[in-house]
Amino acid sequence: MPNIIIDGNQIEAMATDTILSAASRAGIEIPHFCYHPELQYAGSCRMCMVEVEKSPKLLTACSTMVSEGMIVRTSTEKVKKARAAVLEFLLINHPLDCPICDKAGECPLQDNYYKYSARESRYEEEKWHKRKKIDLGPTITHDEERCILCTRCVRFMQDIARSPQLVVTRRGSKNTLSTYPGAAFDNPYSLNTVDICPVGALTSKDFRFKCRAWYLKSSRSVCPFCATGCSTVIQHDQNVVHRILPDKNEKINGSFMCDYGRLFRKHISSENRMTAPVIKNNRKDASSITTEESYDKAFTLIGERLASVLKNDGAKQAGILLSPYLSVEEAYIILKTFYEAGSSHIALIDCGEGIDGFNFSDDYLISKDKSPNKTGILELAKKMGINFIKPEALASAAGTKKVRALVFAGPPFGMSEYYEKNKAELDSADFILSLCSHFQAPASRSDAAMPFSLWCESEGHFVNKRNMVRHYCAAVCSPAKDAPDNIQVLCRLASLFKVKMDYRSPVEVYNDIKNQMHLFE
Amino acid sequence: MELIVSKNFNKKDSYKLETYLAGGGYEAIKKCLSSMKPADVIEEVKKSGLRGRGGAGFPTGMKWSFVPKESSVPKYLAVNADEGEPGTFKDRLVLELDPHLLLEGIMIASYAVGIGTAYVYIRGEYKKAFDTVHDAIKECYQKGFLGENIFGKNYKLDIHVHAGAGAYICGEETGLIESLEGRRGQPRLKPPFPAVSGLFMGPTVINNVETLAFVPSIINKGGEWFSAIGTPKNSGTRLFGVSGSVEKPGVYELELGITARKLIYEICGGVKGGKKLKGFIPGGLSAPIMTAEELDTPLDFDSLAKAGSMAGSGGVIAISEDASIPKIAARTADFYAHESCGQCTQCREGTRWVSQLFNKIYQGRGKKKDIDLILDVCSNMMGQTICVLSDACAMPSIAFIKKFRHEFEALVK
Ligand SMILES: Cc1cc2nc3c(=O)[nH]c(=O)nc-3n(C[C@H](O)[C@H](O)[C@H](O)COP(=O)(O)O)c2cc1C
Ligand code: SF4
Ligand code: SF4
Ligand code: FES
Repeated sequence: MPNIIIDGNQIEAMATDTILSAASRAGIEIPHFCYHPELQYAGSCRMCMVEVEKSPKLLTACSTMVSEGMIVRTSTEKVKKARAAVLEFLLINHPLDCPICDKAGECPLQDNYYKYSARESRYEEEKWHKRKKIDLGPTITHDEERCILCTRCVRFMQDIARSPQLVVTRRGSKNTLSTYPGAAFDNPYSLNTVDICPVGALTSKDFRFKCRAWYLKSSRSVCPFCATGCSTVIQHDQNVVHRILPDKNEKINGSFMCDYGRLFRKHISSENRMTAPVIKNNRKDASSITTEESYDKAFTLIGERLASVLKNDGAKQAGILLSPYLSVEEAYIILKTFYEAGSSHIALIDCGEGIDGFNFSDDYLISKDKSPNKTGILELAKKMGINFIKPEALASAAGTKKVRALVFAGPPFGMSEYYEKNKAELDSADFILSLCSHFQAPASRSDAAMPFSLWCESEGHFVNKRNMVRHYCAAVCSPAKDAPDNIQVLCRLASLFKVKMDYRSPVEVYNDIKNQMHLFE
Repeated sequence: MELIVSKNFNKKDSYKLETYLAGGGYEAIKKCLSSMKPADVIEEVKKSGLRGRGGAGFPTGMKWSFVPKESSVPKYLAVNADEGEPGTFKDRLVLELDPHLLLEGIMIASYAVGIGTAYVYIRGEYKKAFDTVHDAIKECYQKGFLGENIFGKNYKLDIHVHAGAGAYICGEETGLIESLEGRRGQPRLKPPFPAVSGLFMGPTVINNVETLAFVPSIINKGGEWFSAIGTPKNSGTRLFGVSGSVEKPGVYELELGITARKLIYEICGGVKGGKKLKGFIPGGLSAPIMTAEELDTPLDFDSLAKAGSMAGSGGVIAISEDASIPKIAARTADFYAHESCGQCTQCREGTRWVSQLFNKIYQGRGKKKDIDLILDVCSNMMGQTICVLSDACAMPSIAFIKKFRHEFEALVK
């Protein structure tokens, strides 16, 4: 463990440290552009130069390894002059279009300029004009003039995404970032380059011009796109989710996530979100009347219909299909309800082969299994002694009238596909209830449909494929006005099956799971 | 004076193997293989005081001794025949007129360092040089001078030629390595130094063509013989490529330590048309200009460094009284702006800025403050970057202004 001194502070560094990594762990800021903690260093922007005793020249902190007894100074006059010079050089050919740049407010170039230079430019010559608004691929627009050629994006694609789709071409100040001729930048991890770009040269088509960065509020969350469960930050303003970014998590996703997880955003604000309970008086008759009802009225109606369908047999003729997008809390209440009510028709949607016709996976972040919480729900069921039947078996049970009432619980991902495939049999059920975020099949084909919040609108836990318990909080409110939260909806459903369940919040459920079942501690 | 590297230049068919053999060629490598240990070879070269002729004047024997003797990965020799420095055209003659001298130098260096594969990186425009070296290598393979068991001894060596694609920066040693590996030619961060991890991650020696061409004679005649030529610490001869305003431009092999006056006035017949000399650039375009008053400076590594310039590549450019220094300065900066690889901020942006300012002044659009602005911008470009191309732009720029400020002031408002 080399002992070094930075600006008079004794620091015990690690043998693998560079000056910059040792300094940043000790809370000493050394400004930089091309350095990124998760990428191989390039040492090319020259912003991180510091004075090291016994070295006549300034050294780049990002690429200089520490050694025993090293004495480093990060803000001498010489260092300050060098930094100000780098900033001046970086800006001479920069378009300075911050007022219309998406990066403004979270731009290291802007921030470092104010902190380490704030000088007026001495450059009076003609700037290089390069190309703007280049359509780099399906997700990203590139502005060559803003690019400071730090090669973070190039190195990310090379070292992390392992698909070197980006290169720097030409020479000197004509240098530009480019894809190979005619090729699109279409890698499933492309949007990470937008995050790590230290300027607004790479912008996300999904976020471009939508919202200024400083209006965004951040909530920590988990990505529901697959069984990896990357840590995320959901950024929103006025109850609209504008973007989903990776949150640093060394055990799972580092500083990155896939594009699909980010673009999952589109499901949150999609037009067919449910906003109120919907009741049909006869779902098999196309001309039947569909009405939106209050929650109380809806539960009363559902209770009556269930009673008339199930008669005195209780829940024996009721079947439930769980979505792997349910939290462990939600799944717990559902499982307990149907188990105690005596149903043996309990099934879990399998997204193991992908959803939405999307079955891409890799050995980096994207799992083949597209269910965020299959592991958690299976664990719960095991502990409770519940054996899931196959979703197909549930459909046959409906087809043979062994099951007369069906409940679909959870978001439509995977559920819709299942419904379409088994429609004929499922439709034989006398009563279908959906608890769903989106008004599409099966919710749109049910006798009753209840709005159900998405993960970003509620609190809970997922368990990822590596058995890691992942907590998430509500970032925004459900689009359904005055909606009770998912836990309350499920408790009322339980009461319709004569099972008493009076949780008021996910936290209470989680505590019971922890304390009584000793799971997910 | 005895010619060392150019001794065969005037022979008929000098480039052919038989000519080279007739003149005692390939005796030095045979001597190494049969009676010298690799360490002895390095010792002899150290004793000779030979310094690199590519630019920096680094002691060659010492460079070789930095390479670890034991290595789990192959070691390489990369021969720098990129010859991109403006005003430099001497390696070309070795390549075209005496390729076997270079090949023998490569063989000796490889043997000394324990290298089994060497690459000759030849500047793309040197088509004839490329073909000549290529054919010479072929002759050697046919004779058993290359490949397995060279000269019948238990030593294997392969030599490949590689053509560059017209980038000055590929003459910088790590830019050359990147380019040889098939990547974009741009210098690498050091450390690691090539001697530790260079070409294909193996320990690598990079030497200039002329440097290696001295080696056979040093082995044949001994390090002491070589060190007696020239001046102390600046031993031997070198190929001076003289261009610009002189009566007899060309490549001349002369002892290190000859003064600029003697070279320009006695060897090259003085300034063209009998004009007066305004100044001279002593070692390729990157070397800061010197004035006519400095003509008595010896053209060796240490004397030129002391005078604030450098011996560089040995390309001497004479500038006559009617030349415009601001114009030369503008053309010089244009060159570096065009050739910067662009990875370092100061070099990418600075070279272009300096070139814009010099051009503005030269075209009569400059202001007085631009002159000092150039000096300040240049000071921000020096000692800050991955390679020294940035310095190579800044240093001559500063010298142009410091030594000929009045010419710039006469052009600005
Ligand atoms: C920008 C730049 C260009 C260079 N171009 C050449 C070149 O064309 N030929 C050359 O031999 N050395 C060139 N050099 C010097 C090499 O980096 C290296 O020092 C040299 O090849 C070492 O050989 P030597 O020790 O035999 O001189 C260049 C250096 C720089 C910084
Ligand atoms: S686009 Fe951004 S990340 Fe990529 S090189 Fe340019 S500034 Fe760096
Ligand atoms: S100094 Fe210039 S040429 Fe050298 S590596 Fe940096 S940008 Fe490239
Ligand atoms: S951060 Fe160190 S050189 Fe760019």
